[in-house]
Amino acid sequence: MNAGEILCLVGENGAGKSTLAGVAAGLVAPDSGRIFIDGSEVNITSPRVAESVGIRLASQELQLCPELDVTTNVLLGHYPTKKFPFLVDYDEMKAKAAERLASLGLEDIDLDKNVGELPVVYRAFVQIARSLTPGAKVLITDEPTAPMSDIEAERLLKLLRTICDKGVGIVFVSHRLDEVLNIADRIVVIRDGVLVDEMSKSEGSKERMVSSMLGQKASGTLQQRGVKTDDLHLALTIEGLATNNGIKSLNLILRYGEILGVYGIAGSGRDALGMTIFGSTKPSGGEIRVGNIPIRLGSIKSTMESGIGYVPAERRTQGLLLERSIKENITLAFLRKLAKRGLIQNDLEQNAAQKWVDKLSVKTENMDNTVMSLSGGNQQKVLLSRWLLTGCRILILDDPTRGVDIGSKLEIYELLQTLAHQEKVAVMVITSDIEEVLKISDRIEVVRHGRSVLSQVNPTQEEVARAAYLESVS
Amino acid sequence: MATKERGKRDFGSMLQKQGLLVMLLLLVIFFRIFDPEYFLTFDNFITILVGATALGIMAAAQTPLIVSGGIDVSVGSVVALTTVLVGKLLAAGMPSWLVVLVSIFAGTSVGLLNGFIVVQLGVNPFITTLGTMSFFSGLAFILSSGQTVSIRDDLFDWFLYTKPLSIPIFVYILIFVLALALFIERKTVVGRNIFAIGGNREAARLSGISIKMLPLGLYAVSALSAALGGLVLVCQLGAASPQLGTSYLLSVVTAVILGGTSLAGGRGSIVGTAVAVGILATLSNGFAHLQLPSYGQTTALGAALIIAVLVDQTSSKVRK
Repeated sequence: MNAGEILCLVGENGAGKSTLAGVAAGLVAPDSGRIFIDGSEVNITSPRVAESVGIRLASQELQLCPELDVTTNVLLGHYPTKKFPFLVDYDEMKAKAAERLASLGLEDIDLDKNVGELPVVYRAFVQIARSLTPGAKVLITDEPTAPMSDIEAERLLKLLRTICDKGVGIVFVSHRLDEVLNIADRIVVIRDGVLVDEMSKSEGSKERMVSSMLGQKASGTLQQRGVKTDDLHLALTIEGLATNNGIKSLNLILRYGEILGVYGIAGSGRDALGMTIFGSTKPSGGEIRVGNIPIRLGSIKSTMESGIGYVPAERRTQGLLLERSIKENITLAFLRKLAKRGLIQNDLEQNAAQKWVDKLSVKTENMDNTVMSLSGGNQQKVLLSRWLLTGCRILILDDPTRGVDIGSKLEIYELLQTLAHQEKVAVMVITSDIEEVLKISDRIEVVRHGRSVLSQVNPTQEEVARAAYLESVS
Repeated sequence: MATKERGKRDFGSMLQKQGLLVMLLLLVIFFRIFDPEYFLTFDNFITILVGATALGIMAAAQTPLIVSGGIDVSVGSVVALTTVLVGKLLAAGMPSWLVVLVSIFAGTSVGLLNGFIVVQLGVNPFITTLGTMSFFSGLAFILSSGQTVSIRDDLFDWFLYTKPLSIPIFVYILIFVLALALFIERKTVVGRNIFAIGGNREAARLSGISIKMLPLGLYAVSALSAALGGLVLVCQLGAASPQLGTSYLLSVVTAVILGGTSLAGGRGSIVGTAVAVGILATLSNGFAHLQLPSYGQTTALGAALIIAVLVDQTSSKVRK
């Protein structure tokens, strides 16, 4: 990349954008390859080295101290000190911070305010101002606009342009393709960790970016699965569901005996959907019905009583008791029914767990081993067993194959298909993996801006991607 | 690979359990050497158990609380408050069986208050019980005007002097409470859910386990155990004083941690706690017999606690 250029990195989730940014900033050690600055090779082994060669990272999660004021945050770790007695020279600090902000056209930020009290976009500004210590040659910003509204994002883009005009090269990572087209001098598309396309601003278009992001697969159609979903009985009806974390008036239905794939990019409302249906968070509006009966919203207990099970996205932090046995993990949600007057019936528990370990072929010699000793795929099967054991007829899964190896992935797919097509369970798979949603679903819903924007039996990958990324909100 | 990991885990927990037993054994040998006549007698063994009754009851209730991710450092003050209350009520002429019921009821209410503040208002458990500790302690001093009163009562004397099979009734009480706690830990849904909540709160919640009712109950039981501890002390010492509980301020939590329960929650056992209570009681018995200053005992206890936690951390690293 060149000085004074804005290079945009785009790619699907997990394509390697953040990793690349991390390598350049010295946070992640590369396995091989070389990095050049000003034509000479540099070996970036630590964040300190990255800083000394002029690379600055403003990372995805804001790294600021919310309880400290703007001045301190801008200069964090680089405080000017008095010669004696080596105290921090606050006046000098304030002057320096003011100067730094002024040079970026950010005079309107109050230096004395605590960063935690600033709006999101200003926090991002402070973070960028902090990154731009003297000697900066390259600024990497990793999805700075993700939490922002369009207007806020526009201000941020303007700021980046200002910085760029000063001769600093900028790497801008984003999911928002409009933004990318708006600001980029050059666009690089990454897929599966490899650079697959490169275009100048004039050559760039959203269509080209999307098709490069997805690769050749984009044109391929998928085989019919032969499940006529229209004939099946209605399991779950969601009407006008709204939350204050991204879902706005979402409608969808789920039938017994089908796998519904719900796809959407980060921030589309897809991430909050599973937890909301399951009653973990109370929605601000809407109705959810099982059959014809509305369920009480925001209550896990009543959701479970209606026969809904939920496998969360974060297996380790939301799903498993890592230090406990496989058996205990399987029976966790159903233990009360395996007990008499509060006393666990050992044989009942043993048999119930064994049945599902066998049925789902969880690979273990002993159910008393800790669940930690299992591979990711088998851990996921344990979570599935937990819900199947309760006899639930509606199963909602958030990213069921995250961090699972390919073999187990296929096994889980087959399992879900058996559950839906033979046992007539209603299965909803919520995922950010486009290949997964196409591979496994009998029907696909695409969510964008908190609404369902596509609902189709057999869409092509291109249709799904267009719905998720492209068409603007009407 | 699974078996290898399992082997390591077993080794880790074995090291820790054996470590505790070794510690206890070393203590016994040490005191045996310096007090060859009396220390290793049946009588002294019983004396140690009687001395451990109050501590054991409270530690048995504190263990599941800490396993669930909570903590209650206010038990010492509840002990003091209970003894003062008993003294006041007896002096006012209330029948002693009613006094016992009232103090148990008062203890449970105080625990519900702790639980309400932690569970419903969301205040950090340590801060909450640190606050109520000071609050109850102050209350005990106000109620008693700082005075120690001696207590003479038939019911309390009966507890002190009844010795079925020539073993004091306190020993039966201690064994009963520990066995009950062990039974709940190993055999019941409640016990299992306590480990689930402490091990992974979110997973427990998403499995439909109520993460509020159970902890609330555990705080109530913890304070109830402190009320029982207070009653035991009143029987054993024949006195009520706002200063009685101070020695339990930390020793209860110390016993639980020493017994291998993780402050982070999710891991621990009544068996470990029982051995740790044994260590603490032996220590105080031995020091008394050797007529060593009691603050030497405090020093030894502090060192033992840190060593035990170090062993625990090392073994959990081995586990990973």
